[in-house]
Amino acid sequence: MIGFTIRRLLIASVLLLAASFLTFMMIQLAPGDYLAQLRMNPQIGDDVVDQMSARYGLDDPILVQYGRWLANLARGDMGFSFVHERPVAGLVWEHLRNTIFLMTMVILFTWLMALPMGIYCAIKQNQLADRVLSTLAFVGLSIPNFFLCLVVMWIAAEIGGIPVGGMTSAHHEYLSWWGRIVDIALHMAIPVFVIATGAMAGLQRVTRGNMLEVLRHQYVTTARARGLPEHRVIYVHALRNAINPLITIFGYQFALLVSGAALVEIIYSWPGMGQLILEAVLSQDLYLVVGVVLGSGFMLILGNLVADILLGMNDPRIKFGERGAG
Amino acid sequence: MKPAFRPNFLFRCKFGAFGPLAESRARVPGDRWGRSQPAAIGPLLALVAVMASGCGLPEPSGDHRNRLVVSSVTPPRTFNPVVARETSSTAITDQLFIGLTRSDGVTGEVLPHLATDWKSLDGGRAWEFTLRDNLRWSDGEPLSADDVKFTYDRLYLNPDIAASGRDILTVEGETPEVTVLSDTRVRFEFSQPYAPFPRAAALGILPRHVLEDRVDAGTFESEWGVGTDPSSIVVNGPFTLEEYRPGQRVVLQRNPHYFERDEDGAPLPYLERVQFEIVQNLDVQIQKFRLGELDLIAVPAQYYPLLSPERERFDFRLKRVGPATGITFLALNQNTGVNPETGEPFLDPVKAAWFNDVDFRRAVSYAIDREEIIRIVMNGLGIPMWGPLSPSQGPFHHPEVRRYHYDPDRAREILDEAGYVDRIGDGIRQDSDGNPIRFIIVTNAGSDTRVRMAQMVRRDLSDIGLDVGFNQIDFNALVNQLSFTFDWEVVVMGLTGGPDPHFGSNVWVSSGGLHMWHPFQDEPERPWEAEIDQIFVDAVREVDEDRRRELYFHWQELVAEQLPLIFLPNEEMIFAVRNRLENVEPAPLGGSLHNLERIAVRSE
Repeated sequence: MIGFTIRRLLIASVLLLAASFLTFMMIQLAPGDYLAQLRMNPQIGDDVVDQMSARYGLDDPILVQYGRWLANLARGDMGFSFVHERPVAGLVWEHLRNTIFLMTMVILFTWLMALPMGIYCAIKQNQLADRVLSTLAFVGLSIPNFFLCLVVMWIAAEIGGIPVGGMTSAHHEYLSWWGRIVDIALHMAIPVFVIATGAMAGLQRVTRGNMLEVLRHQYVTTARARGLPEHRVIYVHALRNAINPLITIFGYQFALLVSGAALVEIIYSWPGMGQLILEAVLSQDLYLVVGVVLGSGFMLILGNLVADILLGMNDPRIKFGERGAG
Repeated sequence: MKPAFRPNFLFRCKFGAFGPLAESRARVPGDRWGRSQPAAIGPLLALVAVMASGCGLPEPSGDHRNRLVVSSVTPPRTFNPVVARETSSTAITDQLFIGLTRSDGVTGEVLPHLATDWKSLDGGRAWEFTLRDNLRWSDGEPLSADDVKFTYDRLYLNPDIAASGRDILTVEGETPEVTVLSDTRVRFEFSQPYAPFPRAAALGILPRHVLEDRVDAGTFESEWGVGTDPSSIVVNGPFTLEEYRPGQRVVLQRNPHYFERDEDGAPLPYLERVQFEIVQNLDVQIQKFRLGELDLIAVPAQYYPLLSPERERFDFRLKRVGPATGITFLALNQNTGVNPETGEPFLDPVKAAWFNDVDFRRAVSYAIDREEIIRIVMNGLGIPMWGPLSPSQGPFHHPEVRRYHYDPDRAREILDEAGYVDRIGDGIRQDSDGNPIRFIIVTNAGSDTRVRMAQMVRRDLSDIGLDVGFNQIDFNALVNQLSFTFDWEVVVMGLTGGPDPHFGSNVWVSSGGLHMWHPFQDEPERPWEAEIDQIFVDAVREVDEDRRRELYFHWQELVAEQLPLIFLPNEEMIFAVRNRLENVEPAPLGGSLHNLERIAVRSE
């Protein structure tokens, strides 16, 4: 398994390099650069702007810039953000941790809601409860997140009580430690709910489908015939076999959530990666954009890796490193 | 100027229905979405209720009441005032670091600050400042003339540092020599008279005892970035930096060593803390204000009718303080230059000829229905602009320049007389060589106001027989066209502006890079450009304020006559202020925080 992990990480690093190269080229080939904003400021002279251009190395050919960036990366330096005047690594981490925090809650919430719902629907197949829950899931799936977010925020603003943006209240520092936890939890209510409704539907449908298929197998009938209690049949024997595709979904979801949450984060003013990347792209903050792409790409690869490992742990038939296992 | 991303259009349409929730839900009886959402919120609310039930909803404690909460659209990029450039950073550094002088936020007048007074010597070639006695840094160290010399010599005027303030300290490429005369007296000597210097001397002074070795080490530019330990930032302004939470908020605390006192001798500032909440989305910002989390916000004109009826319910007042500073304009590319690499002209000479014709530009100006723009784009809250300075921009604004009130018949007449006539009857005018008058207006996507203005201008120009297209492109791409490729035709753009026209000279002087209609000229190509160039040279040497005003008045008259830029209306500035705040005097020039040290919270 260790060899497998190492090999996967090696392949991943090649992928990340390619992604960084493409991003670099795209930002550089787009017209204008970070300094465009400053050139339009009547109070900043052209000599200052030219000086900055030279200092940031923006005068050099693109490939030279990329090479220099790679060399720095090899030394563990992800570069410097022009806009924020500070190293990219720290900046990305500050925002990434807020996003990871939000996403952990979203994933917890999604799985805790969707898994039981999916199982329940499978047991009550084609009955009223199944239809109602499935319809709800589809509604959740089909409303775009950003739109749902705006609607929920509007409702919350009318009711009052639930914050409509940000991660903490303005009086956060004056709260007790318990008050602070509640404060953050309240601020997470809307984004978690909004992102989870989108993610839940798919998971619930897949759970339902797999359970239905597994429940038709003969060993389930055998288990029931032997007089095992129904909950044991479902949760131990059937679920264990139905869960494999769900773990694959988990890997995807983990990575998708990072990017998919960006829009909600921006609308809700959550201090995560969404804010950072939007600002970076708009201002053509070269190294920051590449840094963010690297960060997101890393999450994607990590998610898939974790999913593969979990898959192997759940299903003894899967061997690491064999063809088709990854 | 900032290409802000505002995904607010959807929210805005919902925003109109501020009624209670029951009403809005009742409007869609039986609707599946309407029912499913509250149903799904159920478990979530239950969860929240469980979490909150143990302690009751969190109640803040401690001395949080003497505190002002404002908002910022983007996070600060640095706390270093020398390299700070964006308003999100300078709004904060302005409270941390003060200069020898300051500019009155309402009138634009230059007032004493660290310096009690100053005088010009040698016809404006030298300026001598006297500092207050007993000034101290926030760490208790004394502030003296040495700090002033250090700040100018080693920071703003240091060629190794990309200091955004350097340009306004430079006359004809020369920088001043700074001499310390005593602990409280310092002299700046230029090689030629520099009249607007007292205004430039508002640049923040920094502590030599903290920063000198960092300048020596060459690390100054990255000092005091947003990752710095707040307590290591030593300041001289009314507030010190207490905390920065990345992406969330900046907290300032009152500086006990600040010198200023009010009329009764009580120390300023009155506020214990000021908090800048970072809220990127404008709609969220307004919601947070309604819910009481923010105390003071700027309200875009389009939101005025929505907020106005809620003043009593949410306990605030709205202050309309006059037209914004800066300019929004239509520029016609008059560039006759040739690309030195390809030998091709930057702009089709046929088009350059139309745009160089002052009659053509005047006809365009007469054809624009500014009242309609104000009514539609600004909800009626705007003011037509006729010259390069907004009425809010202080003493140099010329109120009586030539105006071009909407008159499409006059516009047609001028075009007819100048030979732009529709000779083949297809509804589009041609010039005397038979070329149809066809051009494209471009502006940057992302500025809703500018895009809408450009569309209305396009319609107005079509009405007088010009074939006008419209295109919006990315801000940076547009700047690229304006500063490097010069291949645009007509642009709708905006520029910021301050009280002294001299600091906008690279827009107006023909060699300037922001002289958009024909930048970087070696010799002014048009006689009126030569005249404007001369005015800017004369005015910078003129120490007498009245004479300076006359010179700049003449410049504004010339601009209004020649119309290198055709000005579009400015929006009114509106601020929403919580009723418990006192001494809030927002103004277009200084914004809402220019007198922050005097703003107080009424005790309840």
